Amino acid sequence: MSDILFVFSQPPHGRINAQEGFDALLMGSAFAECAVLFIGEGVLQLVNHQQPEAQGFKNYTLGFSALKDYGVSRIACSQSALNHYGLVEDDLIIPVETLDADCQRQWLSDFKKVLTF
Amino acid sequence: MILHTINKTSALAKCRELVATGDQVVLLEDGVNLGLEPLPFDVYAIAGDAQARGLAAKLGETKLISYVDLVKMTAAADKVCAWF
Repeated sequence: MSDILFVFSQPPHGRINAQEGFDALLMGSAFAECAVLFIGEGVLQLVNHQQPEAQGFKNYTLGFSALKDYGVSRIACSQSALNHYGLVEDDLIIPVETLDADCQRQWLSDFKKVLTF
Repeated sequence: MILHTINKTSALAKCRELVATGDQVVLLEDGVNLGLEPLPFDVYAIAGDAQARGLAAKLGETKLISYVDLVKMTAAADKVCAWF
């Protein structure tokens, strides 16, 4: 089982919080085995075709495609959050595992460290 | 055992599904306002934060603790998840 679980619950853009989480994940992946779980509004980070540049924000979500190259192979999101926002697999920028509430609790329990962003 | 901290009302939605049986939940800062609502799990609240908002006597079953208690609970927990 991986060492650190990053839990992302912030929406993209608008505030810097979500991008800071992604930066931390990339840094963490250099030192430990990392996985990431998107929950709540955090699943909106995964929506494809985001164009935040016109609002002055860098589209850091394009970097999600590179996570595999950083050794982050376990990427998951909350099934109920996807349902809440009416999102399906085709709406997402990368393929992710979808987890029900029981599986999410299991992930939180299994990882040695959990960091929330 | 995971210790969850909630520091504002809106953060409850994030951890509602993630709190497992046997976990502990502490309300702090504006999160103490949640002590006025029915919650799906037992919670502790920081007494100072509740007193500051006039809620210390209004939180029903919620157990009031100090920040020193929170430090001890943090040390005893396997992991801490901060929801904000």
